[in-house]
Amino acid sequence: MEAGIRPIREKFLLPNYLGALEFKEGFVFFRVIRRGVCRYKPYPAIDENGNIIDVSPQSYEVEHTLRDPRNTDKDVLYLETGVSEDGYPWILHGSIGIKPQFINMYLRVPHGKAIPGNFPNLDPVRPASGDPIGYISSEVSPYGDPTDYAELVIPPRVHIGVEYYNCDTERSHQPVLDLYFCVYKMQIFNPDRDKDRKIISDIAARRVPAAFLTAGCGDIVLEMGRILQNEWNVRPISLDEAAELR
Amino acid sequence: MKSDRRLILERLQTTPGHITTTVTDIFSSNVPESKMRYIVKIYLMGDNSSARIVDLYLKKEDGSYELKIPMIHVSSAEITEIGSENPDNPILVLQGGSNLAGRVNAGTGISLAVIWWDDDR
Repeated sequence: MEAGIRPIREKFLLPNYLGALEFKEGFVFFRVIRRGVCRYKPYPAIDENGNIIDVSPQSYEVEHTLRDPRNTDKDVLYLETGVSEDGYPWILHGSIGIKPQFINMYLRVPHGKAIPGNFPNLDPVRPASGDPIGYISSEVSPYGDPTDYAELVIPPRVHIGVEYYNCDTERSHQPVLDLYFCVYKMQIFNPDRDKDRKIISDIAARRVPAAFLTAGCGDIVLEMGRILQNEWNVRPISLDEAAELR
Repeated sequence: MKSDRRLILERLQTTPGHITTTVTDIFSSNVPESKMRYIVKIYLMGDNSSARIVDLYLKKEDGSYELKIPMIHVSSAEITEIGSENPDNPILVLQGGSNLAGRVNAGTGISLAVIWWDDDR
């Protein structure tokens, strides 16, 4: 494993852990009430019709969401509602491992939008050309032990897209993925509620141990939106504002 | 995480070729500049006519040929193997821009197969 890149299993949160979740609008603070480890391994890459994707040598496969091969109407990495059936705000947190080594996988977060992992000063990544930037390979996130190289935090109602490029000059390959995720059911701390203000301040000022997560992937931060704010009954705030709460 | 050996095994490839009495390139194109090519093993097939002598060359980036493995005896009706069974132990390493070449001393030529892998995907 490369220095500074850790297996995603080492970053999964346990029940009662505290955390701050960054959205474009600001931070939301939470405690994990319940977590469930979810793993889809092997996940054979398929298209929208459930056909196995076989990428020809030095060729590209267009963007797909990660459908369940047993029921292609369902996206594996998707939360359809803002809160779980038992009433908790929830998110997915995890990563994707990949094999074989010849396949480069490009994430789009959310589906159809930006590809994470590009250098700030460069033109957009072009998966169709097999650009050697912004991809995930088995070298950095291997099948069997996905890493936080492309750590994903997926809030409700966000689809993730993936594209593939086969670097092999002679052989076709079928991408096979290892979807290793946790679903967290959370208690959200509300900065407008007196009893939550101290814990929010403690997390923001690093007075208590807490995880920092980014909704999205790497440098791509997702918007929370008004609907989710209402469903979670919270308004995102800045770290400075949070630290000053009393 | 998979071992390096497993990754190498996934990369192993076989290229058939035919060499004649003039020095003949074995790979249809030179090794890509960004890669190193490790030659693990070479099978030389006798031509069922007579015993032959084969020389193997490295074709350098400037197009010149350097003799690397001379005087390999190939019996007429046998397969001669050079190299190891271990992909970690190559007999030749080709840098980007180079190629493998061969020449046989007489006859219409002999067939061969090269087992190799590239360091990058």
